[in-house]
Amino acid sequence: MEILKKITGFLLEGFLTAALLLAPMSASAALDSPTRAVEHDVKAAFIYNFTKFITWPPASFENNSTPFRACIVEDMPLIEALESLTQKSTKGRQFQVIRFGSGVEAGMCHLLFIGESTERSLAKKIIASVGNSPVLTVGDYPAFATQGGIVRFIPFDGRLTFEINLEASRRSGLEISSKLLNLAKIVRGQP
Amino acid sequence: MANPFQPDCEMPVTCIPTRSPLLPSAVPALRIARIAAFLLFAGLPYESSAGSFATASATQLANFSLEELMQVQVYSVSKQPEKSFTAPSAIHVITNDDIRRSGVTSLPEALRLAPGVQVSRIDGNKWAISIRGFAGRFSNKLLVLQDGRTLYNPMFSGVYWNVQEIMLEDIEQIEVIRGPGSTLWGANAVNGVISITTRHARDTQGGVITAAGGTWERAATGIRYGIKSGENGFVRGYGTFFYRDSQPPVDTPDLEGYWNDWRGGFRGDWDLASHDTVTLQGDAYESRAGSGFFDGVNLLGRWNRGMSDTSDLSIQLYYDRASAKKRVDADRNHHETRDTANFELQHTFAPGSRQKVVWGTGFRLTHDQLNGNTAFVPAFIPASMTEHLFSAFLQDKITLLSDSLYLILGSRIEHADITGWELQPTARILWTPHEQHTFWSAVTRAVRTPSRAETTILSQVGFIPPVTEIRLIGNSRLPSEKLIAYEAGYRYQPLPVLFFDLALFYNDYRSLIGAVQGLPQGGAPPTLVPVNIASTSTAVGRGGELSVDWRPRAWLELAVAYSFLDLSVSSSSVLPQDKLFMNVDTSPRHQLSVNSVITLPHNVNCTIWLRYVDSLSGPEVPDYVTMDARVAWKPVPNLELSLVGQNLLAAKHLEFGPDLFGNPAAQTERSMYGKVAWKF
Repeated sequence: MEILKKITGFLLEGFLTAALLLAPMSASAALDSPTRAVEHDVKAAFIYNFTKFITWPPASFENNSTPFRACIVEDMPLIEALESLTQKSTKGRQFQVIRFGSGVEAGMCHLLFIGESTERSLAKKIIASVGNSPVLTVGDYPAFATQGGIVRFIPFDGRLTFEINLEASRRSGLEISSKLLNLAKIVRGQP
Repeated sequence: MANPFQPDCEMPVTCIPTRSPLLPSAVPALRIARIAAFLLFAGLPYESSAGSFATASATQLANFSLEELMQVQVYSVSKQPEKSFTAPSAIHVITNDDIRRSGVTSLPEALRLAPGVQVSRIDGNKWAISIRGFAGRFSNKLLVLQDGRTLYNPMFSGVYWNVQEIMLEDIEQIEVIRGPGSTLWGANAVNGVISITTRHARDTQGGVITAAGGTWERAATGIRYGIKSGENGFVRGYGTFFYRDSQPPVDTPDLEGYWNDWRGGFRGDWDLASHDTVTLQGDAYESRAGSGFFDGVNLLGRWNRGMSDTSDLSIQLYYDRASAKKRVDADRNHHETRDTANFELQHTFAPGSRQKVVWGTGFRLTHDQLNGNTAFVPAFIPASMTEHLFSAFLQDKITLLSDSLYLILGSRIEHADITGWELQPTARILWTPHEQHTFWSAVTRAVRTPSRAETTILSQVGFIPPVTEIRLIGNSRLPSEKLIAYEAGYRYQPLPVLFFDLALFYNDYRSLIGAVQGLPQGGAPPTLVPVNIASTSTAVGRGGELSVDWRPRAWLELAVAYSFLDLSVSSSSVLPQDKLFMNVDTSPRHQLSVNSVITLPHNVNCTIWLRYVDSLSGPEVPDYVTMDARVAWKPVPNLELSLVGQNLLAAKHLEFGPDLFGNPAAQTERSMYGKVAWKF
């Protein structure tokens, strides 16, 4: 028993020293490990990507040079992440990020994100103000779908997945491509 | 320190644990600082070359396909949930991920992850766990719950930690509140609240099998499987078994630390309509810990209706049966069976746009049956009791300045058979002048209800030949212990990856329960010397906790927690039992923890966790520094292999003194185990 303990102790010290010394160095050799990213950066990329798989009615753009307007409620890190994408275009339109606040009406937005940090009653009001306008509402808190939101992010096993509320999307008049629907978890939310 | 049941027996001689050659003798605080500094800076010089390995920016991610995006490992910048940044109390949340990456295998050890929690291992299956002082095997001022079911046992006022070992993989989070939570949680939430939440059945679909083996964790295995139930529901079932080695007490070879445990349970969650959710869950266990046999079952149902977005109603019912058969000493047993039924209702609503009200009411019935194998020692009179607890509370969060200044007022009124009506009010103020800053302050009154033992014990605890008997006598008219707590806190998040949390407190305790010597009876020499349970003491606790979470690189996470406690008790009694019953001088002045998690390439990650705990003056426990380390590898996404070393810096060290029954403390030994976790 004593000898076993000694061996264990020896192995442990060796293992620790190795871990300490090797850890930082081997970090540069990371080529085949899965991509890691900060949550709001991933959300921003999802949001940008969603716009490619959804068709807005032509009437929601004033003219051909009207930018695509993504409105974000309160979530500053997400706004900053999305602002790094404003050089990009989506379906030939400039991708514009707007901080949702006074002076911005929900109807002006093509996409509207309401996050977990937003007070529930305010979130409800904003979603209600969207009504049946062609606005893609995106959120990340559990009650979002039942409040009438369309796309909700769901953290799963350290990754992000999303669900789509079919009822809400039909009411908005947006056309969601089958590719997006296939990847999403489908919920049949309240009417 | 003496054994309460044998006043004339001495505590076993403690020996100073040998230090590891890794750490030559020096001031421990300095030593840990040196190790911490080494850990911090060892990695930094390499960073520029490491760059942002496999961490993608938003611009890079925007070029990913949706399928690729769904494979990206997401980490959130602040480890603490959004809500705990603006909570008007000292709160820390331990997540499922934190537990997994720390390598701990038992619930008590997991609690070391929260700042300001004292976790002192008494032996292989007993712990003294407390917050802000008064730690003992039964820490009577700390309330602990799992999924809304109280784990706090009124027998000795504390938690039997050895029967709470649910499957760690299924824990969603452990919320640790330092300071009183009496208004929302009720009596006994005096120094803190620990609330364990298991995962929603939806989040545990599919199967998990784990198997581990090592030097302390001899064999441990768990299986869980979750399926869909109907159109809108999910259920899971689990079973676990472990066998843990005995850790010999300081000088006596004993099997008191031996521990094995069988357990099984289920949880189901259903969405009934768009507004209603129902949860049904239950567990059953059988455990042998040292000379004690434990078994129990519980069943809990919860119905929740989201009536509107600001209004929410929930009703919860549970039944819990727990039985413990313990050896008190060589020829005395304590056998206890307790049935608890509990009903709770809670309603949240917003009367107007500036107020948010939560109120609730509850009723608890608890029935016990106590037997000893010897008629008189120790005995509780009556041997069976039914107690009723009624409570109601209301709390209002008032917006004084939109989005920045809130006033929270509330109170709970509670009626227990022993102590009658008690009022537990709180007033809190919360100010968030800027999204990076939160200030809060609170004044709260909390009470601790006297335990079944304190009110009804009648036990011969010693005998001085030829005729004098020493008898411990409970007091059924004991008032509650009382606390007025003054707290303040500040949180600061200057960067998304850097988070500071500071909490300070001043605790003013009254009517603390200890023991006094009564009038000797029966002439000279007396035939009877009573030791009476009584309110003997007042106390003042001062201190604070500071924690820093920092993610200097995408692959490196650091969590540093420091806590300070200065607790002084003034008692009107000189009996040694007084201090023992009250758990005086059983908490360290300083505690420091430095935890680093390193994500390596090839799906390897590594945790190094250092802890310093100051000496205890009551049970004479020297200070110690220790370290846990874990390395884990995921060769494929569904399989995780890990190797964990615990308490590595010394062959063994002592963390606490004997428990209330005089069971000697055991040295915590260096240990190691390997584990396989497979998801399918």
